[in-house]
Amino acid sequence: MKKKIRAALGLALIAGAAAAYFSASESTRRYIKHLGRQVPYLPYRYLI
Amino acid sequence: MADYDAIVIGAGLGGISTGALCAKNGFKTVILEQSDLIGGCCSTYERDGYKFDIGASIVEITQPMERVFELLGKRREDYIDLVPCDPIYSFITEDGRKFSYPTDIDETTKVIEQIAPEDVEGWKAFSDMGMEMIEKMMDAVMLSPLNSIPEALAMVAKNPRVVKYAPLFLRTHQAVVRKYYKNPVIQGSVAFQSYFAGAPPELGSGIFGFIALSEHLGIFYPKGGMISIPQGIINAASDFGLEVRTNTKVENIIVEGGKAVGVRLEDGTEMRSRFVVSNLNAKVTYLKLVRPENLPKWALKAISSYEVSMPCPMIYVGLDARPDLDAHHTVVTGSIDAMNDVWNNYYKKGVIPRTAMSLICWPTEADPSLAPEGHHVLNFLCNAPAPYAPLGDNWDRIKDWYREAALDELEKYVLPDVRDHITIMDVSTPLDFERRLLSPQGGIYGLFSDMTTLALFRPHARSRAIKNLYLTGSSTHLGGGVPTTLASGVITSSYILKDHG
Repeated sequence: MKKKIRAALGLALIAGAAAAYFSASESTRRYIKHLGRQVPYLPYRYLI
Repeated sequence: MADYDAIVIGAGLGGISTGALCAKNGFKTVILEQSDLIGGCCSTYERDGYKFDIGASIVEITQPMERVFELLGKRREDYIDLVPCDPIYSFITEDGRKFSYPTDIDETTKVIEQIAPEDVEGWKAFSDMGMEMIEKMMDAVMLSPLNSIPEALAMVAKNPRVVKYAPLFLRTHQAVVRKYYKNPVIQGSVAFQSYFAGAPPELGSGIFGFIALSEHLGIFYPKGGMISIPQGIINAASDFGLEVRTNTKVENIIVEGGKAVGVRLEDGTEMRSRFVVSNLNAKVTYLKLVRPENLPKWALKAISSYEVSMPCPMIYVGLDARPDLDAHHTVVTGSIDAMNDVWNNYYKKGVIPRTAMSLICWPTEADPSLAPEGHHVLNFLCNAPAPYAPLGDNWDRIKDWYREAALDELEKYVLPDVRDHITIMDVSTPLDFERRLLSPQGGIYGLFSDMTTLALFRPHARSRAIKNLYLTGSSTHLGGGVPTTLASGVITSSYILKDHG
């Protein structure tokens, strides 16, 4: 039961994030995409 | 045995302020500059009696400069004569409307009231909050090392009120502007400064939204041209034995056992030192001077991940008549959407934008001695990024075309008869900037600046990849600009003193 609730919550979260993304303006979407490309490098950038 | 305590590569403002403060603290210091001019982007060259500023056109937020002189134990007024410029900007919109922002906040309120009464309350809220923030954050963020989480925590513990302003780093420039202003003309007048940090309003950090406000503390032009700032610092440090060599190009940094121990010059000469400071772009420092084989893999991944800042061609013009302008800076501006459009649909696609967006600097208004009597100088900056590699072409080939196209825009929007009065003209393309400043792709602000490349995430002043290597200038915290690169000199020298003092 707990597993099902967790899965449902996870799905709801993903659906919510997707809905927010697609309802955002073009400009905001570009900003989110830009951040998505940069964030993986932050741990390395912190070190240099 | 080391020839010097400190070898500084590059005589930009970061290199000169770091070098001067090293010399003041008893380190035997030499600055090596590959070109024939000091100052990097903050410099001035002379041709046929006219003096043209290469890049930087003004100094705002003078505290870092005052701090450099204070640390040198000298009075800034004895070395640099700053002329206040008021109004800050004269604006021309694409549909021909003209207005100016004076330095005085209350006078600016009257201007906004005439253009957009609905934005007066927003302006008051913006200026009240912003002035308090600038005052609180000046020492905390601008002049403090911010290279690690412990340093950031120490800064917050010392200045707890800065937490209130932290969300501004996470928001975008345009979000901050739109929160306070509704009128597109007013929005445009405080949004174009995001390009001063090298990013469009939709990507730049919200903290840059306050650049426009900081200018109301006063903007100043140094008599003799922008080169007077680096020259003034060198003169002030001459008592401490600071040595500056121009036309001296460094081929690489000598690394032994993971430590920087000196430099090798282009002619093969080796110079040894206790530590090395690089004022070059961090990508050039690590990838060309230190070289990949001397870097740990993580450092290679980190430095390769940064994008360089945008390039911006400049046109330098001598005139035989007084231009019909109202201020040191005239800005042809557009809407926030137009500014983003230039970035997304032109710059990122390798297309040179045909846009009115531009910044015209008129330095002879503040200092007539920069041109022969009765003549004037204009430095014309297309305030929109231009691609380093235009589609299917290169800048050396299209330089003349670009100059004429830019003059067309200048004639159309600002000075209808400018061509009749031109006595001399030069163009500096992204390729020229790259050759002169060793700045990759001609980027004029070091590295691209947004929330993922600021403070903790910008290349650190004290390298963690190479021992005894220090970085300064626009690639480090807080990025490109006159006050910020001077601040980087204060920060970098504080690390050096801690490590070697």
